[in-house]
Amino acid sequence: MKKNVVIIGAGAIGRGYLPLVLNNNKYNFVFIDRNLKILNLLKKKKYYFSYKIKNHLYLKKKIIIKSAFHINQLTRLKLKNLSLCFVCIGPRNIKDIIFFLKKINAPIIVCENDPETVNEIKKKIKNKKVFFAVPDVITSNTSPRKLLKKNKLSIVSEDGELYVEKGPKIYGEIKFLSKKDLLKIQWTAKLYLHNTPHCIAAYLGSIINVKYIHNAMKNQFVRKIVEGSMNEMLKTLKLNWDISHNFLEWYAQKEINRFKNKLLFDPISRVAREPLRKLEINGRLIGAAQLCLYNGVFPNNILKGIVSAFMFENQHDADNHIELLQNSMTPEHFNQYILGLRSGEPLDLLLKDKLNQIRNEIILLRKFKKNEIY
Amino acid sequence: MKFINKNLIKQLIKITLEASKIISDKNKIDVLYNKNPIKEIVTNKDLEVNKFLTMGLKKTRIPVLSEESRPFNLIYNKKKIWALDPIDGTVNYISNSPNFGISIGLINDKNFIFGIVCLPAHNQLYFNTSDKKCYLNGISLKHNHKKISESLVAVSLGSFPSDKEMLLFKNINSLSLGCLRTGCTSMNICWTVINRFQVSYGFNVKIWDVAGALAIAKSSGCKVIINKKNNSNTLDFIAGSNNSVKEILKESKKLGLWKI
Repeated sequence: MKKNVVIIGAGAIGRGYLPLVLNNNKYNFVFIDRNLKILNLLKKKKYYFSYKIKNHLYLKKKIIIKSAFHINQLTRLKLKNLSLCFVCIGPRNIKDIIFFLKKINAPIIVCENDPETVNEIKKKIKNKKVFFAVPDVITSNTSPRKLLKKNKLSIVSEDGELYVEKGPKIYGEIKFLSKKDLLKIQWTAKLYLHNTPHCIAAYLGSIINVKYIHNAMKNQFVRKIVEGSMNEMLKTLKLNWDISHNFLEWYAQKEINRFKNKLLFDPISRVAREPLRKLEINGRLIGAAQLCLYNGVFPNNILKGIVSAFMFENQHDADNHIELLQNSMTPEHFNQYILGLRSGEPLDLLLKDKLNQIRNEIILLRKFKKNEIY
Repeated sequence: MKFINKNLIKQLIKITLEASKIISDKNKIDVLYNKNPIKEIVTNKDLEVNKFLTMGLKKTRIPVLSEESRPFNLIYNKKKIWALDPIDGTVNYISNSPNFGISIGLINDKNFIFGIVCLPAHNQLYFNTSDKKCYLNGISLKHNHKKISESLVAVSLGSFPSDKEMLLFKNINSLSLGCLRTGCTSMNICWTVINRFQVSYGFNVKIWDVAGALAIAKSSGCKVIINKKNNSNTLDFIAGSNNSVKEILKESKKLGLWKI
């Protein structure tokens, strides 16, 4: 008899990647989300296709939907025969599902881009069966038109790996690592060699007004900055971490190739969303730049990524007030209150010194017409 | 519902942060005089910040009600007013405690609708943009409700609290995780919003101390109840988690402190 897996967050990882790697013969999939459009489709359709890109081809897997619920229905939801719960709803939304997680006895696998969320959940629900996972993959939250025509829920992932902290029993293509190795190797590489250049590609892509990451990477100036930021991080990690240099170089090259992948259709709006979260003090932009400076590497390209994040405009984004904050504060106050930098520390001084110069350089990117820049 | 336009919010953030610079410069702080009662201190910085913010707010053509300006009655009856406390927690400020702040609130028909609170020593800037949206340093906030037994309670007491108020303090201290008195009411309320505390209450607090912070608390989903007093610049309030507010109200009523 199949067991139930509840997936909280039916976005890229939840709807796309997890059902690809989990064993369909062992599990039924129950999805929880707050996006009504996705939910209605999940409720209406009995199945959808999740595609994996392998050898430049789309390989499809049919995913049967057992049921789907709105996050507001969680108070009344009782799930029998529950084997696993995956959380991939976004770090900011964890607080909204804590009461539901308290009711769960099954292992909870947290696939958020922040290991701190595991501690936060553990502390709040007083359950030790909470495990961190690092999906080393890019999954778009949509797919090309031809695949969407077949099924509106179609979604595309790369051929990646799902690394899970040792402990839970999961049937599927999973790699289990000790917590120490997961954090030291996979998470470090993901945070700095994936997240940092990936979001920089997205913010620059937004500046030049393209829709997908691979479009942004076609622009030679964007590509130069993204590859430059990757090299800054690579140099820093080699100096600072006891991780094989071959592994770091392989990882960096793999990521650059991922960003250029024309089959992935990874939307800029997805990768660039919530810029204030991405500008958190220990995160992929500010934290990355700090780490470079600490190791004597000048983060010239990462600084461009940071300034392009300040300039991100999307009226539908939860952080669309970043423009309001920028315009109402001096750079000194913005660094202090919004970025959390101490007055006079190197990154604070650098940003204050270079902000206008970098901003002008980035504004110049906007002047290129899409067709001229490839 | 939006009460205040984007440009005005930008201006308010700008002047509040500029004012925070004046406060952060701790050179040349002079205690000018003690109001009655003696614990209420006025420094040159209170007056400097008050002057700076009042000038900034004047551009909005909405009258300003401030701790350092008078008279109260002439201003409070207007439809819209700014309620301003240039330094909430002056005693803390001169004692080198970080618990002080600048508080600006917009009152419309005697309702607290907009607030901006800056706690310079904590690098925190709170404001709301509507009755459902508020932020700390740009990050959207939502209060997480807890029961009184799981609550840390922040209390604002006047200079000479009554025996009943002290008894309430004792009772709530037993019901909850504990009661604290920080000496900065706007900070108490803002820290309730972000769940450092779960509830805060105060009796006979000044309108300018709480106008901004209570507007922020309401927009974060905190339960806020207020007991306004006719023709007075003081009020009683309880703000925070639903259950905790309910329990404190119940205890206050038992002691005859809340008469509605």
